[in-house]
Amino acid sequence: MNRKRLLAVAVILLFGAARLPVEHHLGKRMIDDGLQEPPIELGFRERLPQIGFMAALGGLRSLAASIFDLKAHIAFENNEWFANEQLYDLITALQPRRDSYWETGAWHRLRNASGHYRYRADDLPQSIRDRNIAYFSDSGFELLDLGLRTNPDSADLHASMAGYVNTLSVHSVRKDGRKAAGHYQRAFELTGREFYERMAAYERAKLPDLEDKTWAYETLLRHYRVFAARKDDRRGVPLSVRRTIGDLENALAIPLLKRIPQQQQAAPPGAGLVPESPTYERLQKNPAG
Amino acid sequence: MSNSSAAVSQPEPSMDLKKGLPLVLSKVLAIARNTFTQLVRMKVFYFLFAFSLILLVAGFFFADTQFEQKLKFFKDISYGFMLLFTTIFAIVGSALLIPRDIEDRTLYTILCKPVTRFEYLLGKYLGVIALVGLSLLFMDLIFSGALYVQEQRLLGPVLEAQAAVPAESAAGVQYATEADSIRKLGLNANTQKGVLSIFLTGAVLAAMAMLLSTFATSTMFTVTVGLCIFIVGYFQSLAREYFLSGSEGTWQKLLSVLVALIFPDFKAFHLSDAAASGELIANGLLLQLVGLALVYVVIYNLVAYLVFADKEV
Repeated sequence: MNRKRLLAVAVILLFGAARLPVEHHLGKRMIDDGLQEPPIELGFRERLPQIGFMAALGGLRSLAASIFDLKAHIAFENNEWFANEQLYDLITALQPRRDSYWETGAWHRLRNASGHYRYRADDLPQSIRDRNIAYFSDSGFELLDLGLRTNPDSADLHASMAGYVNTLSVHSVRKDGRKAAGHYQRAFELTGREFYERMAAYERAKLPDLEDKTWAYETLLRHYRVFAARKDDRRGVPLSVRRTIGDLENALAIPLLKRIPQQQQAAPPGAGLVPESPTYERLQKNPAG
Repeated sequence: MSNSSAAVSQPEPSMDLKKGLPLVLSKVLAIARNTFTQLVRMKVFYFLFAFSLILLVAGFFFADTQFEQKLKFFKDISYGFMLLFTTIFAIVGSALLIPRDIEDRTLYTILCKPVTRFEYLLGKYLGVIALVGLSLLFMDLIFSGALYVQEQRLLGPVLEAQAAVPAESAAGVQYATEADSIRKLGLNANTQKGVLSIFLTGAVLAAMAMLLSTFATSTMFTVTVGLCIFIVGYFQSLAREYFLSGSEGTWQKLLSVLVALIFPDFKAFHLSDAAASGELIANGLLLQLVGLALVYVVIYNLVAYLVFADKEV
């Protein structure tokens, strides 16, 4: 090998040594900023098809997740709930930073799979149906919990969890007012959307502790004043706000003079009579369907 | 006789007087233009029909899925094929040039003129980069147009429904969240940053393939080894992290450090996944990546020159 070729090899190696810390720092920063997913565990290989594993290790991780997502959608359409569950385990492992995958995976388990075994799987014995309902409920909450641990700042996941445990909805899977209030409050802190704060207040208003009721009263009163001050808004104060404040005034023994009027003032017919829906599920998620 | 010796001793002018460019640059650009024309004549742009067709199918694929799935799938497919076509152009384009010039004996006619081997290599590289850049630009135009149409189709009904309900209601919050998600996944600056990251990958890949072709014995060798290096380049970060993690095992450490030193880290430029998911890509980070790609290109071209300088053609 002549001198120039030796020099070429030396330049490649020296360049490699020089860029090593730079690329290490860049890679770490991109993972921290959520621009790249952390490396997947090698044990995960057993659960992935070979092509999926290559794609996942290589540069097509997002595409692999999208394709598995479509497969999961087909499994959902065919009521293949265990296949759907497995696919969402893969998808969330491929792109753990993408909160919508956790949310959709949990939704399939908590609403669709559980609902299927509760209302539609007539060909199965009741014992199996009950077992599957319990299984998918547990599995759904596990997925959502893991999703929240991975993405603690996802407002969508907090709101989603609150929706499954709130005490106000008939669709609630496991009622837990305190937990629901905590997740609604966190969703409010992350988004600034006042609806979430009101939902937290509705939940805490139902809790037995005086501290919770006082917080709920003060919060809802603040919202009430904002609504009432909107002279141009012909929709008026939401009925849920007015009614919950009324309940809290009784519970906290607020003096009559300090109580809010329970009748809508100078509002158009029908305004303020529609309660705020405690559930805001994904029914309208697909505008086409 | 005296005229001939006068012509030999006359120093070469340093400027191209016609174009007002430094002569070196003028020569490099002439070779680049020639290379680009040579590649375009191979009818490479026909791939755009295939790309458009893929996007058309991807756009209508699973029409009944949620909007997030639909937009993300469309972007993933588009970025995936952009990366694929860019990889092919960068590797095959670079791999074809030097062996073909040797085969056609064009190389002799170029190098017997006052053109240095470095100018020749740089011109070839810029020609390939022009092809990669232009093809990516065309793909980006098709992709952006299709994405915009998809975004508007999904956004329209959501905005209509949002206007019909109070903003503070549950439905209002839901529609606002949906509209935000659609805009995040739709056409925006991040979408273009994802395309730029693919171009950076192509630029580094082309430089690496050019380096390979300086000592390769055939086009097939360059293409095969180039593809292998591209794939290993995506795993390079695993080897680097293994080495830096201080794990035990002498041979494993030696192997991992060799992989980390020799192979480029293509994952470092991989921002298209983030762009497909609608993540915000900071301009500062993008600038750092442009800088890193530039260093790769300079070093690989320099090494290519060192190898090519003494090559017997």
